[in-house]
Amino acid sequence: MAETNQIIEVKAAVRRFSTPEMGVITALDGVSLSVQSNEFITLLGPSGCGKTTFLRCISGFEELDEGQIFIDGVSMKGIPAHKRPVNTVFQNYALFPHLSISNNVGYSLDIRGVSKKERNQRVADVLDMVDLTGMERRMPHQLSGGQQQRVALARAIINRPKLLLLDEPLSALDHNLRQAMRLELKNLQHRLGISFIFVTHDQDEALTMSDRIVVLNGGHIQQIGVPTEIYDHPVNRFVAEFIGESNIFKGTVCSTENGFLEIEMDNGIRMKAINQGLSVGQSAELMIRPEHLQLVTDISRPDLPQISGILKQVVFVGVDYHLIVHLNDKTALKVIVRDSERQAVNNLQLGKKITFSYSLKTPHIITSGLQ
Amino acid sequence: MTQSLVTRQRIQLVSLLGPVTIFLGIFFAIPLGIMLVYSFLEPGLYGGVEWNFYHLNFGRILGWADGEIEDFDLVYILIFLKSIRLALTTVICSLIVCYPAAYWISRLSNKWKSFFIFLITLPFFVSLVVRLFAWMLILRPTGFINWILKSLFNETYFMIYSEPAVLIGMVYIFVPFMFMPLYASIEKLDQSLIEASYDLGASRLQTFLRVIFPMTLPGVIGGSIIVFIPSVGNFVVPSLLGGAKVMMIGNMVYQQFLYARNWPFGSALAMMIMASVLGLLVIYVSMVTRGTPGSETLQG
Repeated sequence: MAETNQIIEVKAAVRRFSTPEMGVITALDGVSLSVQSNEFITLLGPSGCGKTTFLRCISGFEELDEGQIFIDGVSMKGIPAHKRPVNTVFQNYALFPHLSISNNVGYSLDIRGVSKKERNQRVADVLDMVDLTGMERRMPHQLSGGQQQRVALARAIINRPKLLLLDEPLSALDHNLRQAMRLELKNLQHRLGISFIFVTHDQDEALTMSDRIVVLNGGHIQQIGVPTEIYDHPVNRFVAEFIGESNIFKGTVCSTENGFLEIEMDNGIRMKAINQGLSVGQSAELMIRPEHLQLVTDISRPDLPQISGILKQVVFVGVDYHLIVHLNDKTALKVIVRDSERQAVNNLQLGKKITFSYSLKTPHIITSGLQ
Repeated sequence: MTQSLVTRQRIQLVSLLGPVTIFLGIFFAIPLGIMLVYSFLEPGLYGGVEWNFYHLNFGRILGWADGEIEDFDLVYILIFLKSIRLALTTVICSLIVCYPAAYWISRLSNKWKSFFIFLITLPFFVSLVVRLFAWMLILRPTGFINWILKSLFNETYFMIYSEPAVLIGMVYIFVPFMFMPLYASIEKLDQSLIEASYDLGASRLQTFLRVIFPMTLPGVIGGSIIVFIPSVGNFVVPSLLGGAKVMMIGNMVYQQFLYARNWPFGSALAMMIMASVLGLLVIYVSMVTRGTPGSETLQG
């Protein structure tokens, strides 16, 4: 499993749909992506961003209008879905309601005429893998949502495809089950050693499971990177806002010195950050995550830059407090304070001035998409 | 409080089910009872019945005209079997005609779906007899088809008044009845199941045999029953397109009541049709649902 050969390579994929209401829609607009073996890739984006279309083009349910798809070096042009070495876990599971669990899972083996003995053995193995031993004779409607999900998974992996496509497979599960399934999926992927392309609109799923995340919007890839990179260094405002909570301020660089820069925002407030090659007078957007702002107390380090405003709202969400602070022009600043600082939070008063400090390393400068 | 609720529910039940019970009671159950009684009575000399118990109405159908074994005659049984065979062929032909059409229409946009379903129901706007007369014009020796054959190959065929002509007429009449239940169950079919089948390596044919057909089986069964039952006893089509040559069981009943004036024998024939249809249906349904675990969808 150590070698990292390319399982799938997509080159400049374009897919257009013509709809009677809105004319031609370009669902995929020049998407290129390659996936290594044993890699867990997540396609993340809002609904309508083209992620499901991308998956359907790989599985063969849609044909590309332009561009190419290679699986294991073989062009998939004109190859129908049933001859492609990929399998799909569908959003609604798509279990055959008239077949037992055993016949659902063994479907692809029955199609290929695998001997009964080998088939039953493999069905048992794969059901064991997803913790459903002994469920062979049940019908799909007799299982819970989570169990149906596992059956769908077992059915898709029984053939050991080179690539498993998962189309929002967790979206129909309740919160706790979803959390558990995330880890299970990740473990399973690791054990099987096959590549997963996982489609979701849920950023938490993307961050917790992926080796790499592909952020899609409007048929374009916005950014590809490992989760920490996507989270810490979003390339544009869309990625910054879509993944995690963020405060984004637009402004102009007003000074650069010693590798740092200072940005003056439209409301006159200045913030500092590490300079990433900008010069005075350039416009830029500064992003800071809510959890990177610290309440200023007596023991805070005075050398850190600060920002202050009027406290408007405090919401307790379990592990954290979510604070909304209004800056001088009523721009909202989101701040997340750990529960460990409960004492300090309890002393806060709504409508009073409040000050936060931040490390110079935490603000991220976004220049893309600006003139 | 609860007392009045119970009374209210009872009133509701009576008012909802009352009309249909009365209607079916007067126009279905009582006539059926009369027929059953008549089928065991002696035919009167000039029509009507003599009130004596008489088992030879059924005896005659089964081959003993007057209880003597030497008169054993299979003629009625053969007509029965011919009628059942015709009904079965009608079911199979209309199934073959309807299934692809229903599948294709179910994949269209809603606007086109309604349009084609409207087209399917269109024949109901014209009287059945008028439509069958149209078929007579098409099939007769000087009719439309022969006109084409004559001008192309200088040949004519005698097509009307034959069993194939009757079959064409029957299929033509019953296609809409087959289409509706089929369409209803094909339309419900989840597209993602078909994709899942392809995804797992099944070809189009395998997908049809393993997923599409089994899942639309309730529609196939429903359509078959709706077509089979009226086909067995149908007498309009055989008498118009079959003429005197093609005698079906429906025509027999018709003749016994209206021409032969033998009500008891006609009643016995009608009872036999009912019994054989019921028997065949039981066999059919248990056959197609046996071993298919999805059969519970039939009830649901």
